[in-house]
Amino acid sequence: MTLMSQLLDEALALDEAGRRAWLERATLAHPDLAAALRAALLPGAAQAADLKALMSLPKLGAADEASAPAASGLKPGARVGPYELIRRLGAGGMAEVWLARRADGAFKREIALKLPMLTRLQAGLEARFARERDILASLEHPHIARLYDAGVDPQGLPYLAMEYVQGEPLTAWCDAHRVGIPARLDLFLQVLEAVQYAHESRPSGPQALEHSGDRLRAGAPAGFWRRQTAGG
Amino acid sequence: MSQLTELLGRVQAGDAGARDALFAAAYSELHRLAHARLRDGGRNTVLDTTCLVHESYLRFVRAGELRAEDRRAFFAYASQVMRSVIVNSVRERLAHKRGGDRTPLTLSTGLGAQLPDAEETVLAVHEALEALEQADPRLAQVAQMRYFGGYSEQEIAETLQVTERTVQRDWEKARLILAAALR
Repeated sequence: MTLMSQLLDEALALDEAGRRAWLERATLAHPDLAAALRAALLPGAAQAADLKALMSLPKLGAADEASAPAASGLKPGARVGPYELIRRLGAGGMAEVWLARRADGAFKREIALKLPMLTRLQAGLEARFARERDILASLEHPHIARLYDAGVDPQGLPYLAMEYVQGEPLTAWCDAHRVGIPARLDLFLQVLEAVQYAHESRPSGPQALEHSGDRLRAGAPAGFWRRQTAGG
Repeated sequence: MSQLTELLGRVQAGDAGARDALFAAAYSELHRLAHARLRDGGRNTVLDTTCLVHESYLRFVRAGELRAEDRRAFFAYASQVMRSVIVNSVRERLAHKRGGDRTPLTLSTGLGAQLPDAEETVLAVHEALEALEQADPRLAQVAQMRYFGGYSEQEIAETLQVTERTVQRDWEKARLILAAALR
């Protein structure tokens, strides 16, 4: 890219005739860059369209997950066991996580409800879910989101009700707050503590970790799913 | 507010740590702004974005109270934050669409239905920009501020303290290089 940049500095100042002559020489000197240089200096319609497309960020549609259809087919307000869904917080390959509250008002607390994707129901899923529930229920650590409740609703949909951790991906938080190396290492040690505690699990990557206030929490412990699906 | 006032005093005294803290105070607003940019795309939002970036910082602080270099640094920082938030959100959308075990399930928000091409493009631009940062840092900075930050050429010129003509040339050249990298 450095060479491309230098070559463009030479050639962009030239008029079209100059560019053609320059390209002939450059093609011999830098055969591997010839096509890219030709596209840049003598753009056709396709190249011009590419450049135009790069003018600005493309529109990505609603970033608001509430307006997007959930893969599970569930909607806000739906009941799952004793819980009422408020809004979808996120989704992975195997499950969705919804913000939910007790429908009977027994507890005011909002929780994260993890639900397997109905479209991906597979044999043995129920057993795996039960195993995840058992593993989670045994974990009690300040850096791991707590499991409050688990069950299967009357329609046969299994659910895990977990502590709702508000935060953002740990890596993004560190970048945004310009966290220095010593502080990052300190956070990393906290991650290791939680991982060591859940020593059976496989860490699920920094994207699954969230920084909330001054505390670090593993969001949804995807590692439990992955460990089992990976056969490890 | 009093904490911000105190921070501002330290920023004016040239305390770089205080400046970082002041920037961090605007982070959540920048986060929202980045999501708004994702929703609306880059079209017709340049002015809005600039206004919002101003607001997110200067809401706390009257413009005259800031040294010019702090304002410039903030604008550079804001485009970096927006890039980071946008790229994270795009990665999540892609991961969600692809499904499968490679995807760590997080509680983060920002998923939705959208066009696949746009996400791949944004991610490809981000990766090409990383390479451009090595080859030509100023071109990469211009591209980041224009593409991810949504700033006008004039705004970028003020921030980087170069002429607007230089920004125009840099941006054109950056796009040529990025387009080549994306092909």
